[in-house]
Amino acid sequence: MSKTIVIVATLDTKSEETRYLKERIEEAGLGTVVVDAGVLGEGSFPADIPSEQVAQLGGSTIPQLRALRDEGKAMDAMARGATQAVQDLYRQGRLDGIIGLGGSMGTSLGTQVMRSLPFGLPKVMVSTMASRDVSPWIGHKDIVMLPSVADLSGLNRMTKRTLSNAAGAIAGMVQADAAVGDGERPIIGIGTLGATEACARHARPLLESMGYETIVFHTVGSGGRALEELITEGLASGVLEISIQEVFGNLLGSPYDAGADRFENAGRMGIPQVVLPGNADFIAWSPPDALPSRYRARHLHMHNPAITLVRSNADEMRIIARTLAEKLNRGKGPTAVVVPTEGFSDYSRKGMFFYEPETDRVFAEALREAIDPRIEVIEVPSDINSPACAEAMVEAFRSLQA
Amino acid sequence: MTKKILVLGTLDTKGAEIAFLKRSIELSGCRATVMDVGILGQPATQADITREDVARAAGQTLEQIRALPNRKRIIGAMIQGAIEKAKLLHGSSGFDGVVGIGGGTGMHICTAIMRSLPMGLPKLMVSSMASMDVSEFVGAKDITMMTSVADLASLNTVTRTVLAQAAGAICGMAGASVPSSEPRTAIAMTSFGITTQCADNVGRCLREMGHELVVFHTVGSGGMAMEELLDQGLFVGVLDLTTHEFIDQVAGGHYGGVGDERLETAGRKGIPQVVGPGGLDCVAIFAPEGVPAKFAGRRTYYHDFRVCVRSTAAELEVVARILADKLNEAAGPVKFLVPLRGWSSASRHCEPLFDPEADRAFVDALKGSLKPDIEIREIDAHIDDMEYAQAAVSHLHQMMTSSSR
Repeated sequence: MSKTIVIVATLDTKSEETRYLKERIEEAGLGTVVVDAGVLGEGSFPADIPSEQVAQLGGSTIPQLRALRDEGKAMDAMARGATQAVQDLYRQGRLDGIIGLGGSMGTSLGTQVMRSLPFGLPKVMVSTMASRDVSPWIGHKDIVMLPSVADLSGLNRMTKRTLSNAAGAIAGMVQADAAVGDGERPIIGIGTLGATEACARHARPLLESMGYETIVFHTVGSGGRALEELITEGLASGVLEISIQEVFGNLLGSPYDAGADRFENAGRMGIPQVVLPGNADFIAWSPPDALPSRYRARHLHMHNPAITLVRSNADEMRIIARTLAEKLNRGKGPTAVVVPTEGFSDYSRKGMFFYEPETDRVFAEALREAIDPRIEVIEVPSDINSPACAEAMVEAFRSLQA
Repeated sequence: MTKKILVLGTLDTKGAEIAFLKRSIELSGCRATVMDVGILGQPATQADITREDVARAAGQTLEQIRALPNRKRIIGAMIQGAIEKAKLLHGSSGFDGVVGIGGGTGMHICTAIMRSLPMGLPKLMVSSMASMDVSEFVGAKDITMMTSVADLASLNTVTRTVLAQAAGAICGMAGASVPSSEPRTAIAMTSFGITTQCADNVGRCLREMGHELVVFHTVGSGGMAMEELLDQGLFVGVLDLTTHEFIDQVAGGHYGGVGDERLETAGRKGIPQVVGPGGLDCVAIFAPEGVPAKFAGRRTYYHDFRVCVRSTAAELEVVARILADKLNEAAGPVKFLVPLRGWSSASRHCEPLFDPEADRAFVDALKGSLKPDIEIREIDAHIDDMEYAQAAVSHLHQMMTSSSR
């Protein structure tokens, strides 16, 4: 059966471009449903779900929205209506993929609609705003951002190429045979960063031989959010938190912030978790010019042109240990903390630029003072990336099962 | 004909994932060529273009690169070699699309390679870091970013879905065709939110003359994307009527400092250009918590999440000199067209940013700095008026026809 792509667009300003995109998708052998979320006027061709219907689903009418004379508010109502329309299509089985096109307003509207759809359903946003900070639009969803280098105003050789590529992308995505997981083995979520990746790498085969499927998340804010979501959706049977960098993100305002409830949902859901102080030896900042002046005189390391690392000091170790303890104390599930005494990341191993064992020791001391005695704290005399640490972590996890 | 896809990644840390991606691409009916851009560790699977090949293309051995004193230089050398290999391959047997996978460092390497490839060639980056600020990675290029949601560190429910869809997306893009239409010459133009009417008007005028208009949104990457395409020779004329980035650069607005080559490529290539002061009347500020103190007392115009703050005569005089320095170097014909009744929708008569005296200071400064052979035309109209668009198009047309003779 032919699959259907939903196109979310504003036909008042982008009907020529939308029609072109629709034709390219249909040429690829797919059906289309056009949802018109424009308020300013009629398009040059009829939408399958016209703007009046979208406005009604959003609790308003087009004349009312025009009378507001506030594009932002009108767009809010249309985004609500379009989300409702798309949800209905999804329930009716008339949505196998979704694509949107637009500038700043169109991108905000299109991605808001897309964020309401489940992971794995292909989503492509063609946007003139796709080459900057896209986090407000993507959130932690799987939205593909396809930049339109030229403005999406009028069809020309550039915009035609962009729209043809976009049609190809969404068509290819819905036709891809998503040979999705076995769905049988229980899932362990793992959080890590590059500097502690070896720990995850050593642990994975051990966990797999215990019959688990592992899913690794990069703790750069969005990754931590996605891991929390995996947990709250009840998909994870256990968690190995190798990296706690995101606690700094939330406390200090550095970029890797995954929200205030990070490291709390596993405890709330009551699933077993083992936590390590991975990457607590630094605070990551990007881009370099975002580094607050209070850190300029500190021990810095330029990781790559986009990321600067600040060596954390004893005060920061104390704060992160206490905050983590408070978070873990709140949980009701089996929990253990494994502290490697010879380095919290690749960078604080012996001989590396952030090697400062006396600073790292503060973490274990502060943690022991603050943590609930029912949570075991296990010290391992090695660095976090050594096989011994990964083995201790998996062993701790195994004993939490019992 | 079978489409060819170049696959980029580090085979030591992402061997299984790249192998899965390659298989998925082949299932979609395309051919995959894998280039290993990893440096440390051992590749987990065999590459078509090995890391040793990449190092050699950078004029070194892999051991020499590994021995470089710091990470930055090691990565830099690998990028240099990989760009060399990718360009060579693109120039010889060619490929129809490129896809890369990686975390932070992988994305840094792969997108640097993609940025060296021509516009229009499908480029897809799959990364766990694709849902944040991607401006450094995408630059002014057409790199599609796909977030991997979960880390690409093992194959599982989530990563298999993402990689299969990535394979589908890049194969779909590589196979996409643009139905051909009658060849028309293309003109580039700059515009942004509060000069959109001008772009519409210009589009109407040019269509009548049989030209195609490509508009670039000068809010960050757009202006530089135009410069790059001018360099690639895509356009026969330029209407750089919205030079707003320069007031942001001088007064500390949001869209300043986009790149040194802004407003220079057309001149360097000798392409006729009409330049205007669109948007120079306002400094664009992202002001969720109100306008910063340094702009206190200035008139403001609320756009959306952005606020436009009126520029001053002193700031505009600085901008005039910067523009003049750049345009004075042009090898091709240049005209500067000033609409006397306002430079954006925010500065029409009765709108908050209306300030003809500050505008006048700019024109005077420009007259004092531009070479005498660059004509300044003052048009008694607003930038949104059809009259201004018509004048801009007709001056450009004049320069194009006389320079081609």
